[in-house]
Amino acid sequence: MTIFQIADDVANTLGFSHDDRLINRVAIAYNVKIAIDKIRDQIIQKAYSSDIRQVQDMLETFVVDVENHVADTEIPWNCMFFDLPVELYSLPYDGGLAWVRYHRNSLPRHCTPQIARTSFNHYSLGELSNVYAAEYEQPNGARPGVARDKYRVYVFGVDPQITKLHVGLFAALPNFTDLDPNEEVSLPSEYLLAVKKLVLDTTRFSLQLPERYRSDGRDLEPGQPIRTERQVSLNDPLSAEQV
Amino acid sequence: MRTTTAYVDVAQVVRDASRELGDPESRKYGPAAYVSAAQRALSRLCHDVPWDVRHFETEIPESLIIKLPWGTNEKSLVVLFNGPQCNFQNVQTLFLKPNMFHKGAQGYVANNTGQGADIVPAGLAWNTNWPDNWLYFAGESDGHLYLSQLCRNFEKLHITYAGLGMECWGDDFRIPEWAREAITDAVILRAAKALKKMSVDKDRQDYMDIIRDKEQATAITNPNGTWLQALGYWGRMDQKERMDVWTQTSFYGFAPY
Repeated sequence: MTIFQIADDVANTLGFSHDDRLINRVAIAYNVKIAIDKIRDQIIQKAYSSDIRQVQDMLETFVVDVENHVADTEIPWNCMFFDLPVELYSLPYDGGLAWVRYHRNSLPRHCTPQIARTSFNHYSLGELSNVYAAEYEQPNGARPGVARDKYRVYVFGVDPQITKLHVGLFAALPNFTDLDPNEEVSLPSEYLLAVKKLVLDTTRFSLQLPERYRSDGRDLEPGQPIRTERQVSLNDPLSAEQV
Repeated sequence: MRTTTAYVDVAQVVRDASRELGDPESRKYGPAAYVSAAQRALSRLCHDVPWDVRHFETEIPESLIIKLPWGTNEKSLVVLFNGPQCNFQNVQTLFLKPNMFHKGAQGYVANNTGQGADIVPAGLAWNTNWPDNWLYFAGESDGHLYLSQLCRNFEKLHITYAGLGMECWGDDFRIPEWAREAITDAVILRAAKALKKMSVDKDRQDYMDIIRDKEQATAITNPNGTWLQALGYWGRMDQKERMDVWTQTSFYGFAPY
């Protein structure tokens, strides 16, 4: 399914079969993007508590370039890092950065190919001083580590000759301005209903706003709070049986 | 002395532990943290039973101060000898004396009492002629042995000791197979305690259940636990030794069944 397909379906359900006078197609599509991100985040988060293999169809892999940085005014310390190619979900255990490995095909000559099996350890930048104090955890070539800030992942214990790494990411959908709504989105089909419910809720909410501004009493009493819809949960009675 | 020829790589233990914890990618706790937890469990095992038997031989230096090897956990034999090999027909026991210390020259300080008589190892009865010309002793502090003057009669020192399961701090290590389940459980317990802090709701409850289970499994008081079972396995490994002692003391031999 594409985002526009879901948006059209929602518009149809809302009764906008002939025009988009009250809410246009792009606005619904934006809500679809938000809903997909929300549902995907819930699914992956849940998988981190149960079986991570469930969400491997949402995992994206990239080969990233590692920069060997010498301290300057922008980054005042010598370090190795790579920039994240996409925006990540904010998941428990920093699970958006699912895994980091050596890129086997670009290992330096002196490295054995077996080192590509190595799993990188994930830390926070603030934790690093403690990590380096721990003999069996301090990063080295066979026990490398990563720690990240918003868009940048710093690499520790890695040979400076390493130029590429292989990463697995749980990526959020791109910004709406960069998104092609006619492209397929990675969402298990059994969650389409949950997405549709969420979009219906959010679009219905936005459709209510003009009523409040007019205060003409047709739909709401003056001063009456707007009826907001509850958020869709993967665990609600409707969707629980699907998860 | 009990010993084993079967070892399990620590990566195998980490894999078993992480899968049982629902962390098959080792993503939540981290591969290095699992190894660190395994090392801690191995250290505990080494303190419980002296299974990691090692031998150390060195020249006796002019200063009579010998640096002990890293990881000397429990010493079972300390002897002095001459020649290239430690031949037990011609060795002398080195007695370890509490709090003895010297700076490499003549004389020493110790916790002697009364008129300077040494209470260990000779006892008060020998205080008239202390030290006897056949008594060799040393103090131990800060990872060094401080040998008495008479030890100069010998060229070398041999120590049989139990180590900590590795050559040096930070080295790779292996898990003895008989302790595999015990150490796996100990790793799971450590990881679960850390992961409980990182979790909420159902996950937290799951980890609390695991902690309860593994605390029982690794308790030294639980005969059904994996930890005490491992110590039992180790204890049974000296069957030959016990049979030999029985044969020697009873003169009847030990039935081969």
